[in-house]
Amino acid sequence: MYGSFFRYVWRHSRREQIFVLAFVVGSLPFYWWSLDVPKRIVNEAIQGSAFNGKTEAEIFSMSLALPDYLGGYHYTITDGFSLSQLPYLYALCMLFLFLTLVNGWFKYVINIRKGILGERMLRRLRFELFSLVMRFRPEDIRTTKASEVTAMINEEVEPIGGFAGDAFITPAFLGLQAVTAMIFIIAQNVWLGLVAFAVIAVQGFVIPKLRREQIRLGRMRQLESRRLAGRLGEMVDAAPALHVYGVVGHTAAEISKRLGTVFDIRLKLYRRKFAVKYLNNLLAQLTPFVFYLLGGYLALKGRLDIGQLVAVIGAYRDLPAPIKDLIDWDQQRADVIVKYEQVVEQFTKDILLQPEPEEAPETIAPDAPITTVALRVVSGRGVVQLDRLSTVLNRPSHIALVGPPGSGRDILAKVLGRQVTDYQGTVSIGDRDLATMSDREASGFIVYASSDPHAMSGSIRENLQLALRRSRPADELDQDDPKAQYWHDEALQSGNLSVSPSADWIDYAAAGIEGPQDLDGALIRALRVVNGYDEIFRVGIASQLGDDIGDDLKQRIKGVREALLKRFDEAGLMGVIERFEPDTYNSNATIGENLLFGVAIGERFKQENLAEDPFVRQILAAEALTDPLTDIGLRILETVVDVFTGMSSDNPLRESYAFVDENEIDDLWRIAQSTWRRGQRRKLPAWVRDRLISYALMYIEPRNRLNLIDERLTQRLLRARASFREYLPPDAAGEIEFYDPNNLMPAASIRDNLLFGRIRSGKAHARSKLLGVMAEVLKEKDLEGFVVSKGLDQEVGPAGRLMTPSQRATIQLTRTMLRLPDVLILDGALASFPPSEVRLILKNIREAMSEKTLIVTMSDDDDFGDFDIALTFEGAKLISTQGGEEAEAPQPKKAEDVPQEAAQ
Amino acid sequence: MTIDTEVCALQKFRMFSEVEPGKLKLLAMVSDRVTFQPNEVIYHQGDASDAVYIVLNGEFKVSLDTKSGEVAFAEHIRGSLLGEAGVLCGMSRGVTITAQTELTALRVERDTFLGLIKESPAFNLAVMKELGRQIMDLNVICADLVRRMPKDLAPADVASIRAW
Repeated sequence: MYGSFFRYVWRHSRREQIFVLAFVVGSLPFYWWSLDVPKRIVNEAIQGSAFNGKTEAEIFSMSLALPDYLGGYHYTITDGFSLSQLPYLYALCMLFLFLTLVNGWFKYVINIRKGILGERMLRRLRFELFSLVMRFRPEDIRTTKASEVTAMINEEVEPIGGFAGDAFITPAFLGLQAVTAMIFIIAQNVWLGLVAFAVIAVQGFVIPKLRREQIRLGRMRQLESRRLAGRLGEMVDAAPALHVYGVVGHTAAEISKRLGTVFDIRLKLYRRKFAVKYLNNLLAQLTPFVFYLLGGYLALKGRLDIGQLVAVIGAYRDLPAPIKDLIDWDQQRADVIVKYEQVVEQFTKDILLQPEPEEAPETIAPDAPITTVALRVVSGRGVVQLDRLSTVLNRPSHIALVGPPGSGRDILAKVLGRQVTDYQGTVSIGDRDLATMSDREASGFIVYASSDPHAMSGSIRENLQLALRRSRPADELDQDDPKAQYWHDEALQSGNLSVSPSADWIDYAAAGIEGPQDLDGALIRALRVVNGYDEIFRVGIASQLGDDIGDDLKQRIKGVREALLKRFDEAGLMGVIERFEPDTYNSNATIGENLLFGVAIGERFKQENLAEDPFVRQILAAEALTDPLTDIGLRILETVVDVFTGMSSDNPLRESYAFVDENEIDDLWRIAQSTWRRGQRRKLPAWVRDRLISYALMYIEPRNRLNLIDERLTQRLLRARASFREYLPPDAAGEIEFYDPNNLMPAASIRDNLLFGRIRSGKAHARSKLLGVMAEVLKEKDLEGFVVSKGLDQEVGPAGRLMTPSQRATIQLTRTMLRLPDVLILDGALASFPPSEVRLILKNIREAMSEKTLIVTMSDDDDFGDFDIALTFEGAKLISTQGGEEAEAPQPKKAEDVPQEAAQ
Repeated sequence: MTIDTEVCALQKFRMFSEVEPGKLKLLAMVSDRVTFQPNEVIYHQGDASDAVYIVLNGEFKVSLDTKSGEVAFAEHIRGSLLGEAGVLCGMSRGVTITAQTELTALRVERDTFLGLIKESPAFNLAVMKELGRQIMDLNVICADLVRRMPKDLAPADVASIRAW
């Protein structure tokens, strides 16, 4: 993809690199000078060599001189100042201080520039890798482990990006500094210079050799931890399945083994690292020893003055750091190059999808037929999945691909939907080859819906709009906003997209609407086609009212409350609701809800935390409710143990008693029984009592029907309700919103706000009737849009996990209906709906797609009689074609000409 | 009415005679007790099969909408289990059932019902026996109908009867 790392870095950051290199070169004279000044301080100022018996000496005199053999021309720039010894010392020290500051400043600027450069490269690299993954063929995507790719893009490239800043600048900076220092030492004394050089040579030669093993181990560590990350990701995804088979132990053993391998490598790496460090330190500290010994000897013999010795030692003190850093740099280089090559290799595929073209693709006539010639698909294992299919599918037409699941029908649907791109033969639409189309071109008129719909975290609305986010907005810049300018420029600097994701990406034309104001309308129309509108309405009406609504809206919702009561009365539905009344026990709410008589806002008064709350317990104890509630809890426990023993914890049958925690039952039951046997029924351990009371607080008589609530108990609970409200501590006031017929409850659902009560158990269809009336009234009051909009605001959870499979399928189908493409392929996209609903949805979709092409996979039992064309597959072979024409047909006829009888 | 009284009621059913009491209690616990007023429709033909009903007491009418008008179905072949066939086959409701008197039933959600069948072999057998009994009864009715049919009935008419 990019060739070598250095070439890649150079290509993308040439200008910046040269700029920083200029800085590096500019810093060198100052560096030399800062090495030279200490010598002058010792020799000229302290030892007084500049004075030669005079009281004053010249300082800062500057002149340009040519050597004698060039004519000895001499030009004095400035004569400098004449200073006595002490001011002379001060002046030189000030100069030294100044030079130190200048050197520091150079270092600072170079480091900052280098850092920015590295970060830009990192950003560019990550973006390019991401873009590459997006261009993988569907087949390659399926064999890629998402968590490994994430680890690579996110973590592994980080050192690579960082090193991009170091790639050229660090060796230049450090190397030139070292060379400067080296030349300086040699200029003072050749012998000392040679000693210093020898030590550096040893460092430069031995240490990289020692480090080679370290690099190898580092590479192993990286590979191993990437595998670990991949495996961990897989296991977390598969956790539910692992629980089903009870094989968590084995997986834990596998992870344990992998962790062991990583540990072992890291340990070896550590040993190496510290051995090298030890040697390094030793060499660094050994040299001053030689310097003092040899330098001292030379100084005593008068072959080196003290100033030079001090300067040499000073210069040498500066020397090991660059050398060590250079060696580090070299090691990092080796490391990063390996990492880079590995990452690049992972992201290199033989075939990548076409990059997105800039210009709009040419349109394809809606009646251009789909032609396959000798289409053959062989799976990775060499199994023929679709065998030499040559056919012409006229458009617009409704086409059924019939056969058992897994047969050629699925493969053909996937080929046409561009989910399988590795095939032999050709597939063309009109005169365009399907394989060579870019995403943008193909997605403009083909939309494919699979049996495994995808939802991404975000709201339902965002998930639906996903289908329309395909018009790249113009790259407009708010000139007055410096921040926007900065974001924009930085994005361009690293080859990223400069268009903001929050800009308007919606392709309104694709949805057949004018602008943002029609968008919700379009969503609703599409939802209605796929029979998902009621579902979203249900979701909306069950979602929190929230307190971010205007006063006007509040008034209208309150108005609905009134109107609703009247309507329920007319429809004879009043008996179905049990309204919340401050002085009456609501038998269709839990005991806990009756106690609170309000909606919990925070965690504190949530149903599951109620029994452990000290304040709640105080209230219960004050009304002598602790014992009766414990008894109720015991009865619930008894029943659950009696009926559910031996049933797995995720058995849906347990749903009505889901509040009883499967894992605790055995313990609870054992303890309860043993206290019972000892005749100390009242002396249960505190935590057991807590659990039992919490079970009791979840009890609803008409639903659980254990006959545990009597008049005496409800009277006490009502008293407790009153004292709960009265004695509620001020710090808990924000934790609860009491039911109040004159006010809305933002923390409660819209439904609860409107009903202001509970639907009585035991009335079949009551819920749907009530909801039906509610929908009617909301519609009349023009609040339907508000509810649906609330529904669309609901989160779908990571990968849509908060949604049921059929809700996810609805989202996918709605997306297709928003687009109404020329060709729509439904490849098992209706699988998660019950058959009766499938028929209804398919009928609606067919109506919506009446002038377009619809391709649906169906099984032999399904009713595909009224499709224009039906291709029947058995295994990989096409065994019969109804309604369409064979590929041999010389001139494909128009779809309208296909006789309807033939399709029967 | 509590779970225990419901279990007692269920035990009197012929189809549940071999189901252990624990499972009947489970059945009662996972279902909702629902009541219907006279003339209230329990379910409509063509509705989605979302639940099974076990009628504890009360009477109901079975009717079928056909091309040639509504036909009241022979009530006596229905036991007290309603809607199980649609749930088992994933089909929509084949008939309309209307309460004639005040009627009490246990309503078992579709998934819960299927879960019960998996959970208890005895319950599974009870449902199969009930279905088997219905087929036997239908055979008798069918034979009766064929006997009453005019001999020269056109095959098309037979087909249209079959299409119900």
